[in-house]
Amino acid sequence: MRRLRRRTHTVHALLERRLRDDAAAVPPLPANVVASLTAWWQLTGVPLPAIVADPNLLPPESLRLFVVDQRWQRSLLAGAFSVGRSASDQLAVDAQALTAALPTIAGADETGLPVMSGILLRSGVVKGWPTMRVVGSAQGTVVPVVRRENLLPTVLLVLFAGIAPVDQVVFSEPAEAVHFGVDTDEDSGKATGAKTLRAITGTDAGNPLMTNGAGVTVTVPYRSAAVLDVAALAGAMVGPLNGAHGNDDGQGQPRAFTAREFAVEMIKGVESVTVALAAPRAMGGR
Amino acid sequence: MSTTDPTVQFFQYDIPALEAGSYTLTVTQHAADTRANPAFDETFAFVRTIAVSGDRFTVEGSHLGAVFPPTGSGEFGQCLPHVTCVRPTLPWERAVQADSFGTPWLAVLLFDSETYAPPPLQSLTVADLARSQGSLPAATASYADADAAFAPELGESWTDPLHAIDVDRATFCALAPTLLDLPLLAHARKLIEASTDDDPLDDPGHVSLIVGNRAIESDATGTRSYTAHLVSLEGLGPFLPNAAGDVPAALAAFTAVRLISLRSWSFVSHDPAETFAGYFDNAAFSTGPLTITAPAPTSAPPPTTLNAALAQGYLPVNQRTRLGERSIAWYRGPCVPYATAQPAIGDPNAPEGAATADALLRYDDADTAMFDASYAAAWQLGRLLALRDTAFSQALYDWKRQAADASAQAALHAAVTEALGLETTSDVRRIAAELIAAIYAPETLGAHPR
Repeated sequence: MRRLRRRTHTVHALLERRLRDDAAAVPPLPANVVASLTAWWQLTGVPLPAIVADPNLLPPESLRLFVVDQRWQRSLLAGAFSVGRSASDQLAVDAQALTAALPTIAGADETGLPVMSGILLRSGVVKGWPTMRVVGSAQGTVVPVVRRENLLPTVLLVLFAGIAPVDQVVFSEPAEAVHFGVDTDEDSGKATGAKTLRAITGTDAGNPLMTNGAGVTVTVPYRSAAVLDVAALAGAMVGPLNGAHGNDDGQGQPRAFTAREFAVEMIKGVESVTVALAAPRAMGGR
Repeated sequence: MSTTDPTVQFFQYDIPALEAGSYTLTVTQHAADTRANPAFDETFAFVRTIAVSGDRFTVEGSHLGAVFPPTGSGEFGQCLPHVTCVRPTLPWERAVQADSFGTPWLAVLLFDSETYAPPPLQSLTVADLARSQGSLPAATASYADADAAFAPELGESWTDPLHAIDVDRATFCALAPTLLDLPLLAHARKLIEASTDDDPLDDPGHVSLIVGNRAIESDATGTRSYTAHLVSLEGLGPFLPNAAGDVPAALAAFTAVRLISLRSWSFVSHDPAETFAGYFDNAAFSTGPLTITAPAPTSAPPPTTLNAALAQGYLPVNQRTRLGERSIAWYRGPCVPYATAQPAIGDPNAPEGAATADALLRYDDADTAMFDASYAAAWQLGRLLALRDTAFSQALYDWKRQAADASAQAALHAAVTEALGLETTSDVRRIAAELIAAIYAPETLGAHPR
């Protein structure tokens, strides 16, 4: 008798729990379902014509800033989640489960769903520098990139997620493109016959060496058509560099000028472009 | 994408523990004891020959990384070409001549189609580098002429294939780096603070670079093409010119030099307008929100509501209704020019509650009397994406079945409890539970008949 009572008690407890909370009975969403929904939330797989419905939205050589419409994203996910729904009474369960999964999918933190914004860049620069660096910031704070893809050889999509839409984007040549060379005339692209020196030591290491507010340059010695007299160039760099304390071992003495010092001097700056964009202003839905 | 720039540290060289080549290891032990009977005084020697193999006539593909400028075309004016060695010790594994510590044996020679014509790349064997062994012409100097001991090392043979170029003496003396230049033209570098970028291209790690000594000149017409060769200068110290380009004594009797080409590539450097920054500075480059402006009206001025809609990123598109009628609707993609009001999570009117695409059609009766199909189109697209992703749709379907089973089970309990009438006290629940337990085994509870 005692034994029977204990068993009924177990069944009772089980039922009690189920009656109390229907939702607890619904199993959690499989990981791959959440993963696919997350990819679609980031507009992966959404065809370009659905994003840019008219080519005039993104003419050649243009940069367009946008905010991602969450209602559109949520409609997309709702459509995806509708697959396999055979009875209308499942809608409530589905809606509840999808709503519950939204914060995970969107990468929400305690402040709520992040604001997803982004840029579309259509330019030959995308083709020439497919791995260029793109850093976006909003109100002076760098905003993390959630997705970056070259949708076409000349079209780059970058999505950011943060507290506010991006208002400034810095494009720069990728780090692996760090290369060496002599100074170029901005306008003609020809050699200026000079090389601007960089500081080798101290907090300014790698930055242009400045004396009295002006850069320090040396004349580049050539052997013949564009062939540098490397040893003479290195020799020419030592004097001005040490004179301006661009190379200091910490005790007031210059370090030996070797391949490493020469490499730093010969780095040709990586180009970087900062584009400030008017942040999209808030506007009510239609 | 990194938020902080990586820091690159430069090194003068990355000397290998042992240079490539053959080594003789001799261990001798001298043992003597005059008090022993018989007294002995003997020396034991142990000799072993070891070889440190390394790239010599060819370079294993994985030891070299990217080259700069990349093959193709771009704007490289006044840049020096370079080759990245993924094996960081590679440039210092062999010697240009005796006592040349820290001097790399590799150099990048840059030829162009106008001043210094690129020599043709020949497929030869090691024997063709030594006059005594192969087809080296009498007037062409090569490695065996600079170093009489030139011979294949352990694991190499005279028949090993390689690529070589015959550079005429004047060109060689003009282009080749001097012995003083060479140590400055190779360095090692290390990325100290690896970027957080998940782009693998972006992580050069610890590598060595061999930099050329000739600057590339941009050409507005794009007719001048460049060819760069990574050549071996192993043992060629006596052949290297001085800064004045004088012919070294060792080359006096020759008209050309045969060099091993370990890697070669070609590129064109264009017009300086096409620089990285040039694209952004170009007058044709525009920035702005993702909208179009209405075309200029041909007759009456366009309604302001139309312009307002366009400014919000909407576009008029053709719409085919469920009944087959043709109409025009507004469409706006996910990328909108303004921050829009968003439905709260759990809002009963949020898209999650939409049963069909049409439930998300919106009608603008106030202004344009047109449907807004944006969200309906998104819903339909989402459904198509899901159907295409079979792993997703299968997993979702399985989940829905489980969820349906679970809610059916819960509904059954509720129904039984209610059917037993009265208030749901814990006693009633207990009776209901026992009743259900008596009818169904727990495993079959609520399961669909299959």
